[in-house]
Amino acid sequence: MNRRALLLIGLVALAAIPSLAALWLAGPGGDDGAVLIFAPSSFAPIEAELDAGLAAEGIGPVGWVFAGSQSLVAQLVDGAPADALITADLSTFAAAQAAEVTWPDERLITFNVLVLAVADGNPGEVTNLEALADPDLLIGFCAVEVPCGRLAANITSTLGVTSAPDTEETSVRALTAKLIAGEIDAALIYRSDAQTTGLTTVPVDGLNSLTNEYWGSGNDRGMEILHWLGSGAGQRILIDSGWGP
Amino acid sequence: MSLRIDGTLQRGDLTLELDFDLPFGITAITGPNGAGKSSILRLVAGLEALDAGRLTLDGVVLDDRAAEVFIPAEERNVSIAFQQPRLFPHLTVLQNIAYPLRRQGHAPAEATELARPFAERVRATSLLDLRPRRLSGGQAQRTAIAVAMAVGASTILLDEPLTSIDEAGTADIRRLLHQLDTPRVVWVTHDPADAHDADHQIILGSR
Amino acid sequence: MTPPARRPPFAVLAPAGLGVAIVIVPIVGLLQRTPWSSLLNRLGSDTVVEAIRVSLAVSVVAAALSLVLGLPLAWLLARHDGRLVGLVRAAVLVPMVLPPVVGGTALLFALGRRGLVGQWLDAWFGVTLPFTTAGAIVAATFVALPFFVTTVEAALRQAGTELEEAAAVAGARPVTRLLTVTIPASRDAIMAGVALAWARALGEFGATITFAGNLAGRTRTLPLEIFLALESDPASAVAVSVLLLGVSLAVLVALRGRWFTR
Repeated sequence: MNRRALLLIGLVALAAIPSLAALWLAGPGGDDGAVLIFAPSSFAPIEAELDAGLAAEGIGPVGWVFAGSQSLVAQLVDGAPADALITADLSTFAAAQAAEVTWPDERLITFNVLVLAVADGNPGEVTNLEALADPDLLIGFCAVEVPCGRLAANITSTLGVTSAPDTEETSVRALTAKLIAGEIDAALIYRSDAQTTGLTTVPVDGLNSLTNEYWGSGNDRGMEILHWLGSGAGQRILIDSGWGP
Repeated sequence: MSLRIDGTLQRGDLTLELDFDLPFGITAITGPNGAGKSSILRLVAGLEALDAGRLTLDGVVLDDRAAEVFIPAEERNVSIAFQQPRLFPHLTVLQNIAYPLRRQGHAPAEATELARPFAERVRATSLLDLRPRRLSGGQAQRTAIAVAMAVGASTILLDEPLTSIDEAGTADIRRLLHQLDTPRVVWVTHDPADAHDADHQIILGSR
Repeated sequence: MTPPARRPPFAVLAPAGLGVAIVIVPIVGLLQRTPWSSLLNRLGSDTVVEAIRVSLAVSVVAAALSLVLGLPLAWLLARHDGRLVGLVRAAVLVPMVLPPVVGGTALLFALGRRGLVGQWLDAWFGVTLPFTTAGAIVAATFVALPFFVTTVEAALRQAGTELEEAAAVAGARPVTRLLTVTIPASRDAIMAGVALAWARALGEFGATITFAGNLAGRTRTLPLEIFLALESDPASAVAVSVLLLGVSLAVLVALRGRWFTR
């Protein structure tokens, strides 16, 4: 073998190593047999519980891809491989159906409601939704472009509450993080996020009159997971973490 | 009144033992490359400091590490023309000559007027509005000498001012340097003729 | 005479070509998805115009702050050596290699209402930086400053101390030397540093969204607008992306004397 051929092989190998490493690091995207579920980021904190529950029944393994619902749909539109999709509200699910990235089978999985959560120790002395319009308090919302923000906008208009947000975060996780850091006084976040992070909430009548429905769709392998989520074992985990009734 | 150096200067692994006076008139410093000729000028100008000993100018201590005295360059009554002319690229020839006059507190217009005679002395009147990058080596060195004169110091240091110039231009500048009306001129040169024409000579050995 | 030019060997051309492709292909992809016919309408929409306004204010002030704070810093770093200077240089450069979201998190815990310094700002002056335009400016300056400092420090180092020495002998005190010689003589590098810092500030996303939040008209800059629009109106997101791409190219062209040649 001459020297030039060796050099070429060396270069190809050099190029191949990072590519293979990237494929490997990309994780469940590989064909390692995991069922790939695209799920809203609000499920991220209970990943371990869900995995344990699934393993106990011999289902899976499952690879979770967490992101904002809209991003999940966008990824599927761009050709990301998936076995199932769960969105955090109906309108995003409808958008996914319109974009033809769902499967024939679909089901309701759970629902989420908003709660009025406050920073540790309630430094803003928030007692009701009027606080959301208080210019002296730092108030956070989800941006209306994402499901939690759409729900918050629907609720405030239904209840006739005005609001003066200081920030419109791009995901409920980012909003929750700022509450935990104590950088905002109050925010409307999902009950599940408040519960999984141990944030203090202020009881408010009427907040649970509107809900975001989590719908899912998948192929046969994906639907097996979605049905489990809708079964007694799956529902118990979700309800314990703030979803559902 | 004199300029006196008595001390040591460490340059890398070379130790310069210095002990001499620089009297009024023109003193030529000669010696082989690396003997520290330029370092002596930098020492006097305040761009380097003695490692030990003392430097005095006309009775004033300029540099004495033991006594924690070091008068910075801008406060010394000394100016210098470097081997490679150091003109400010963003200023014209006239503005370069006016620069030290501005630092002496003259207003811009006044400093410019005061700078013109120096430009005439070095025959740079046709160059006044040019920027340094447009000048030939000789023109740049003549401008630099005008700047050094405009500082108005009682001592002018010349660091091989003729090496960056074509042979043809040197006679002109040589004549200029011999006619400087500054009381004390210290001229580093490797030209035996220049050294011979000077009032005093210091020959450095390479130790 | 030099020998006639030969085609570079394939073993060099192939990886070099791939390197170019990895940069060019995404840009082509962006341009291919651009809604050219509605581009101006989308860029003229109220939300985008508002984001342009915030972005301009934030990036221009951040670039100005980088100049005012960065110039003395660059000079100190260029003219001094030693372990402390090395540490300071490393510290100043950290934002260049730090993921911006980490920078934003750090800013939040330092300057936030409950942060190390922020709690005193709040208690003594009633100032809270997060969720304000000032906060967005701090985040942008945090990421932009190193670009100015490295550019100008390198230029000052290269320029050396020769002119400053000449100015000193001519009677100029240190600050005067800086103002009348060092800065004017390094004008090109300083302008390049400002342009780079401005471009970086304009593109800042991670630190801003983490530290300053996201509110239209106050902290929602163009990159945040892109991120939000991706959720609801991808075509507008592409339109704004093309706008920022254009601005970036303009900065590069303006700097071509420095980087395109030599």
